[in-house]
Amino acid sequence: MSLGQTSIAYPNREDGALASEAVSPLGGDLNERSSPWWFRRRALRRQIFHPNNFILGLSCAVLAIVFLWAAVPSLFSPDTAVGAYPTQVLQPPLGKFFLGTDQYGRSIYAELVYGARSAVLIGVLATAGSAIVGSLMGIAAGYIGGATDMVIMRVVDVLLALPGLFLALIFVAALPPNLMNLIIAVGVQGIPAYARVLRAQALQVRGRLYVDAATVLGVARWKILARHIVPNCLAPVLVLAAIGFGFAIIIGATLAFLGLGPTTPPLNWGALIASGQGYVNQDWWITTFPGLMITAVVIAVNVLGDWLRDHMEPTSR
Amino acid sequence: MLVGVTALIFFVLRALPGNPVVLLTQGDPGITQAQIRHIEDNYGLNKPLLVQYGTFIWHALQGNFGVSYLTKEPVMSSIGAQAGATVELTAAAVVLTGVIGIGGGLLAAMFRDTWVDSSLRVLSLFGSAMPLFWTGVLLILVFSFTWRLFPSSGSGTFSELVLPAFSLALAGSGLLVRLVRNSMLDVMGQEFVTALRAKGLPEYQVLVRHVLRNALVPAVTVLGVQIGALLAGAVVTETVFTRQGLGSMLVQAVQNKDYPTVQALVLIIATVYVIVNILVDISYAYLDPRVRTTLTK
Repeated sequence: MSLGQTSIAYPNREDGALASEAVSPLGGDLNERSSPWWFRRRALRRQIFHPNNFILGLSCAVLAIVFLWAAVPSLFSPDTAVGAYPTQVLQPPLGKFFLGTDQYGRSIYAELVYGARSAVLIGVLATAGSAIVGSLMGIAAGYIGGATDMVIMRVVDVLLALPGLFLALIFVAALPPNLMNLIIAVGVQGIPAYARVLRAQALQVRGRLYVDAATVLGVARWKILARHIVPNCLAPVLVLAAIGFGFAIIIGATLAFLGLGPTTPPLNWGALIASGQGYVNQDWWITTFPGLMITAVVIAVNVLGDWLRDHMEPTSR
Repeated sequence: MLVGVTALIFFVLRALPGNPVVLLTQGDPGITQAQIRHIEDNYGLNKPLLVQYGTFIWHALQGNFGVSYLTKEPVMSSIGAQAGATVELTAAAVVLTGVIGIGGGLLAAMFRDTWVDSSLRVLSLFGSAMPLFWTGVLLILVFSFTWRLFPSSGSGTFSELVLPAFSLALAGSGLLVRLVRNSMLDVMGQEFVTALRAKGLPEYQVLVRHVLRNALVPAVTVLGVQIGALLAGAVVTETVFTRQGLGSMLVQAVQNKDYPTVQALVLIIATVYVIVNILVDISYAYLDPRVRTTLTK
């Protein structure tokens, strides 16, 4: 509301002092405050229970839980680590164990809690890595242009010539199997998307008037880059990163499922599904719950990504 | 671009730690220096990296990808033996993806803002968010063990193809349903559709012959990109359903660090991917005559 009012006020500003007296910058907020409290609360309630906001809230809750699991798993699970109860093998859900137990007698719920860390680590680190590297490549290509642009974009083309999973597979093939290398492999396949989008963005920002102004004023190139180009390129990175996070978790879980992930703990939801596959005939819960968890996280992240896009790139709505 | 891919594959695999000689000898501790040198000689491993790369390219151009470290057989002949199953699976999945995606999008657009539309939206959201390997496991659970309709593993017969192709198609068609729906609605808002209805054309002809055809251009792009994803998905699906094929071959090669096989498979897949993308570009001209005129100008 306040936004609407100030934009109406803009034409007035041209006749000088009058404008600042006529419309206070707080005008919009004052109006909102004058509405009765019960009206505002009803509006608030309507907003919270609107289906879109409800789904958004649910998604945030899912992500919050998974991040908490990853940070302090011992708070959520009775065991300090996933312990095996050899006498309680393959228990169905809703018995003594909430989600049942697997073939080693480990509680599925505890496995989900302790598996969150690897999923979150892969999601966060791989996404951060590909976002930083890809963005730098894209901005460098777009802002510097010329031969730099050529070389960088050819590299990106090569990375794009392979579906993401294969790119990750090559790196997994070449590196010893541990969590860090899995993260690197997942991160590499994310790079080209950032590079392409940010190159376009940097090209656009480079043509803006304030960049020309800074150049004319004799501001150093690296300063223009740091102060003007980079901050104005960041919105699409956040949106891409939100979507990339879910994709990174899926690819990480897929590689782990294929037996190409770390051979030692931490537990991985994908590896859990692989180990339970042989029991799917009778004991469906071993594979069902980890898969449900991955799906929930990916949907939550996509909902959040859509919301971010709507708020940060109004033009693409 | 493909040359770039060869360089990428080759140097990443060679420059990173991991010694092929260890693999070739199965880590035999009693091996002598002379034997190591003999093996390196045989496989050309003692030459400079650039020379090795040159030989690799030269041989690859002649269709020779060397000998598998693992089976000691020429890589190309094992690939030839396995390729059929993968082609079969991918082709079935592409057709199914197209049918589900376009059919679903058509339905969603025809019944927009009804329960049909919203349930299709939820389904497509799940379809694209569910990890492919989990979809496969669920399908096995429901269709092989609970209802006993289709076998859970194996390759060759038609009934063994159903579940893998379906699990691949489910993952690919989620995006396509939403895309076809939105572009159908875009086209339906245009004036020529009103004109067609005004002249009394039956609604299904308006939708299928005119609206759908116009809405297909973006769908074909996505389907083309999806073929890459389906190829990648074949790796997963073949493993889940223990099928034969290039995908499960690649996973085994990666697990065993069988570099010649990995190189050959990745290169072939990249080539197919690039060719498919070119074909998609060409298909625009067929679907949208406006593209054709700009091309000839």
